[in-house]
Amino acid sequence: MDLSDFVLYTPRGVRDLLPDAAKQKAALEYRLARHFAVWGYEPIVTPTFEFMDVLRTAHGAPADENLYRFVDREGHVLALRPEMTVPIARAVASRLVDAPKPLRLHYIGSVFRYDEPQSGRLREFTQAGIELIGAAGPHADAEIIAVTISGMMELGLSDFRMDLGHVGFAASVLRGLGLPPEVTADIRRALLNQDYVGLDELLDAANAAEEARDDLHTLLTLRGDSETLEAAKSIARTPEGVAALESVTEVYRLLEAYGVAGWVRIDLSMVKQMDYYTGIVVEGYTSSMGYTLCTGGRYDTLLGRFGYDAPATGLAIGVERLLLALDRAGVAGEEEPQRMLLLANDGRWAEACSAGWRLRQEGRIVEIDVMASNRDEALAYAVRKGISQVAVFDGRPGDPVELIEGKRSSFVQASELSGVGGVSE
Amino acid sequence: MRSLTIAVAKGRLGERAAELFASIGSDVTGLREALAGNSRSLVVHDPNLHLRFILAKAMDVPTFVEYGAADLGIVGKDVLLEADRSLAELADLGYARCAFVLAVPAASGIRSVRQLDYNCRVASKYPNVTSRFLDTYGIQADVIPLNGSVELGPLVGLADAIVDITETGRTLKENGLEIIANVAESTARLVANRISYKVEYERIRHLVDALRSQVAEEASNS
Repeated sequence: MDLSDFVLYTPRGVRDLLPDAAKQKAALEYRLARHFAVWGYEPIVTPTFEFMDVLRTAHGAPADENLYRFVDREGHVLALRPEMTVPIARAVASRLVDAPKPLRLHYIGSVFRYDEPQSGRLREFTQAGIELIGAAGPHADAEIIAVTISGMMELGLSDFRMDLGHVGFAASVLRGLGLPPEVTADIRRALLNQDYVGLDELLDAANAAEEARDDLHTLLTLRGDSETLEAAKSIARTPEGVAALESVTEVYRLLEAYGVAGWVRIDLSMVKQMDYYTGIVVEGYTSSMGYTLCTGGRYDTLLGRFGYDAPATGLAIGVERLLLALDRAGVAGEEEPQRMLLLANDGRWAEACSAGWRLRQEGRIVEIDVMASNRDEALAYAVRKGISQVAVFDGRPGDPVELIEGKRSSFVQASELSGVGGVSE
Repeated sequence: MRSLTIAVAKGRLGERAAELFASIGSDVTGLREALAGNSRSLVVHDPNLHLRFILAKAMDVPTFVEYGAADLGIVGKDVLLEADRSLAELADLGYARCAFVLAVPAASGIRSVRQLDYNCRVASKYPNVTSRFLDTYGIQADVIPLNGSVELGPLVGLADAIVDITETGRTLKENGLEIIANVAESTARLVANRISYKVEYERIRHLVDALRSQVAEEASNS
């Protein structure tokens, strides 16, 4: 293949956003940022790439495989960030140690994963999320969940649901099996992949004890409403399991106080890919899409790996997935102001310019013709672009201006253009 | 009530699935007709259990389920291993038992995987499964994807070995091939979209329990 064959193509797993889609995404990001801000979450921006060692410190070596890695001229290994929590933990541990706690931070940015592009997975995608750093305990966990659910409701995504679990609960049941660490790791992976047939095969092969096996099968059924928390008590056999269950119960109680518990379901069988989670974990979704919308949880040891011991909890939303969910739910974004095109001859150019200033200040979207179009060409352009009004400054300075809306045409003074601005059908 | 959508592989796997669903009270009249080719419909309803069956090629069942176009799917483990998609695998339905095997011409004298040349050519309908298996032996095989009649490969000099599924091994033997390794076992599986399993947990769980006890009962009767 000749190099020129590639000039018009993009690599797999990335995507252009043309103006309509880019506008929708920008509007959604703006609304998310505003929502996070009113809960006190301030923006933070970190570099797109980090030292490989930073990411390895947090994720451990196995995470290497889906990273985009490269070497700079000094020979340092760098990687594009695969998510935002680790870079923010690094930034906080190095730059914000003395800031008053808790820290409430939000971010919106691109992340990169060398995954096989398939159902809902791109290689570059945008995450928007929050981190609440320096606060241990259920109040902080409940807050990040409440922020997210209230945000989804504000956006109009009424069938949003959030599953709430705890990594310590599944870990306690797994430990109860009393199997060698490598077998336990395999069983954990089967839980993560929801390979329940493989899970039974592993238990058979390992000759797991009957009672521990039953506990694991019970664990798989601990999904549903708050009654699940009661049912879970029967298999909370270790102090760790009891503590995990108490913490989920407490978070759920606080979510009732926030008035958002109706959107929360319990799932104690949840296991996470990222190994930095230490407490409650969550997954948000809607019935219209086959994959999760957001994910998060508590990570109390991550900042410690960067030399600053602080508890933390956070949550990330997939922005492209959220856009798709809103589209499927038929939820319209915020309405755009009406558009207007001004067409002026040379003698009336200054008038058109000043009318343009005034209209834009009033919040209208105003274009001025720069193609030396005639009236018909300008009207045809307006139709194709979805511009609802065209104002033609013809004749001499001071003459009335022809205002065309669809098939209707009328003559008004240039100064009155602002008056008709915003008129909708 | 919203219908649960179940993607069913056409062919014998689907026919057996129809019997299984009939035994737990599902109205599979439409499904049977569609499977028998008596109707052109690819979407059939079961008003009894509020199910909607869609008929697809086996290889496409995991795709329908992963994207959420179907809530559930019935498909062989062989296909799941090859497709390697992100699904919840809920139950082993026990039927359509077969094995993935690695076979070579009996005349080659090769009797174990380690005797294969490190850069040999292996033909298969399941290139992903084949590559993953050979990788574990450090064999950098040239995997040749074929869509059928894989046994032909070694006969005409296209490949040194094949990876294929077999129930009895008879076809392989008839073509002068000898099994030298078991790659994996396969049976029909019930899979679910991960989000459907959350949203419709109670109903799916109920269905899984019913299917499982039916499968267990049939196993104890046979």
